[in-house]
Amino acid sequence: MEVTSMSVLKRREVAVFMTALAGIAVIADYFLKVPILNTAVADLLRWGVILASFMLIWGTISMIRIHADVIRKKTPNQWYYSVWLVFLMVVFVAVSLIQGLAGPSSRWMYDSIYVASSSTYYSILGFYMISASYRAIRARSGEATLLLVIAVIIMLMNAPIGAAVWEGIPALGKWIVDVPNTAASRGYIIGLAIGAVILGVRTLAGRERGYLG
Amino acid sequence: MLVSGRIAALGALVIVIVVYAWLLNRASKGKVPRIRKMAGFDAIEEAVGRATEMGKPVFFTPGISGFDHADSPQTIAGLTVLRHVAKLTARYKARLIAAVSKATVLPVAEETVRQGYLEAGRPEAYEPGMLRYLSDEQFAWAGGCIGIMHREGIATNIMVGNFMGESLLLAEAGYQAGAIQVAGTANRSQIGFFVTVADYCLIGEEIFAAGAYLFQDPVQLAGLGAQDVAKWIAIGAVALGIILNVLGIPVLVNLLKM
Amino acid sequence: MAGEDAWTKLGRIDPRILYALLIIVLIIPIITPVGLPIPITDQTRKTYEAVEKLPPGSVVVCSMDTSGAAWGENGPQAVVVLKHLFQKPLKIVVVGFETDGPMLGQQALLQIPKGEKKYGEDYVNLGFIAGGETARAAFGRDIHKLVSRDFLGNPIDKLPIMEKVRNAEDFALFFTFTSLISAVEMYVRQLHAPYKTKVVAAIIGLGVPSIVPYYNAGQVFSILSGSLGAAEYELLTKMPGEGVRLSDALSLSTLLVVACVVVGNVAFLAVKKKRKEEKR
Repeated sequence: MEVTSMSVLKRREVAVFMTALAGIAVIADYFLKVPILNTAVADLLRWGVILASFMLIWGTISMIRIHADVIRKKTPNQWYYSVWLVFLMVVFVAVSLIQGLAGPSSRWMYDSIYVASSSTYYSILGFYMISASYRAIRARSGEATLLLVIAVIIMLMNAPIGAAVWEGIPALGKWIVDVPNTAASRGYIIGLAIGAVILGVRTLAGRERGYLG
Repeated sequence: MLVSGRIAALGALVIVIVVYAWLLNRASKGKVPRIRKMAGFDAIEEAVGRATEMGKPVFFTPGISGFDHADSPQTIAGLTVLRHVAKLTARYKARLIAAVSKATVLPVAEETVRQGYLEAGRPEAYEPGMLRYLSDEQFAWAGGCIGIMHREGIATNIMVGNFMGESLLLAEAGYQAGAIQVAGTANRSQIGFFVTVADYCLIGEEIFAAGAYLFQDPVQLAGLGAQDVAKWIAIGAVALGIILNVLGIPVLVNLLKM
Repeated sequence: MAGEDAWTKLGRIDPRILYALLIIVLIIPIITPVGLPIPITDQTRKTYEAVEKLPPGSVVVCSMDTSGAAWGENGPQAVVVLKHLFQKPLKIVVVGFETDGPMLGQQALLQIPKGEKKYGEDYVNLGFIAGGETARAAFGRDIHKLVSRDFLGNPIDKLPIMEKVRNAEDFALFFTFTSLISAVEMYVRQLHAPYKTKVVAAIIGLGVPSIVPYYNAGQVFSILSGSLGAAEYELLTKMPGEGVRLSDALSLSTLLVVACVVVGNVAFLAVKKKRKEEKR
């Protein structure tokens, strides 16, 4: 079987090698002051930004393909939402291309449709929060009771009225955040950082290929 | 040539790499570290079994991130769990619905589920409709997941990956749908919500142990061992630092500032 | 259910009753402000004094790393900080590393009085830069090699403000308006660690406990905590706005949540006690 240059490029080993090369270069750049390396990595970072910009376009194309497939197959209970999504996307893009993102119509559509609906959906969290607070924050055990007490103190600390409820709330809340929370967070951050290093080493050594699919 | 102020960090990195390489070598010879029981992972099989008994689907999501984000390791951890869940749903003949937030994650998730079904010996049972790409937009995706949970009447909700503000929305929706919930994230501002609402919770780094725990992968087990050694070194350094600081000896501080 | 006593019913209250109470508690103070006191925290005061002490001509970068959903908290922060910055003889650079950033930044800029400041000379919106942490790292190294045009399409080499703004060493202060803890961590890694940039994390209230360790270690210069931080800053700058307006709603809704936790636990413990007694 004749191996063409394209099929060589598609081999996973090529992707793993490129990942390793880029990763080692960026890590070396952090520790070493070598002008040629520093310049090369600066360019690499800019290539990364360009690639990310193209990925946005690719993501949009990918999304249109998926929704076009749903529309074509007339997937029950779904296809009309896909039609609406594609329609809105075309309108947003067309208006933004004609007027620019700073144009009045673009801004109106963004503020009135997107920001309004996003904020509204985020605010549903408040309702779920209150039902979860009532139902789930219960003193079932010693640890749960401690969680409950601390949650109440921190909630009151984060509201202006906390000091009015009890003058000690701000100081006690600050101590909880500054001492036990910081201690636990630091341990957590160090653990996560070590885990990230190990994952990075595995990725650069080609032992972790989950990102390749 | 070395950038000042970063030499200590380079030394620490070299130590971690050497320890990992040593443990990897040991793992290749069959000497793997033992890891403790993790109730969250053990509960997954029970949860899938519950779904089979009730004749209702299992819902899974690997979180909101893709592969181009600083939190992509959490997505990879989530997909590792998805492979295990797919294997179990294939074995127990439960229906699986998985929802992803990023278009780039969809093909990887599809391949992961296909792999799980293949490992369970039922590749013919895999259906592309199991995987749903909902939206890149955070709350549109969350709304889609909540809709699936309520419409499909799920029995089990498994959420492992990176979750942000939508975590409580998903957990509470899962509760309202009557599902047993296994949730895990390394996003520390959201763990509290999962701990409070979910039945089983994987806290922080535990999600990264998925590959090691569920598949006994020697490479990942060696990685966990290396992490533990590195953490013990860090603990030792902190303890030594406290003692030296109290005695007024700045040796360790100056060393770490190099 | 038949045979349930009052405590059991109380413990299983219909969540819609709680939702209705929350709506009432949120709407009333917005319609008729109560005027509850707002104490100023040290972190907000530190941020305010840092801006006040900046020498004329200092460059302040405002990065909109937020989204439409979190704009309810980040919006008041961004508006009051920008208002304060525009009152001072400073150069202001607005940028976004999240997709919504530049549009929200533009929205904030449109809400504030510009005074004598001219676009391109005293302030600029550089628009969206894709790439996450890679983009932030590249931004810190060399802005001119990364960005060629601003949000409005002007070449940045032709903008007077950008003559002196080349990389992170030129930033006197860097604000990030964000809902993402990871965004603050990225700036700690890519701006503070290599360039010692002073990063102010204007983050939603939920994220503050996770950022405090960086603040205590000196890696984050200061923190503005959600809409409450915005309210405190508005009082310090004597420019009350959205933050102050929403603070009453924040206070009363917090009291409601605390009341729910207390009542829920009272019902839970009463039922638990009753079951214990029944077993005897």
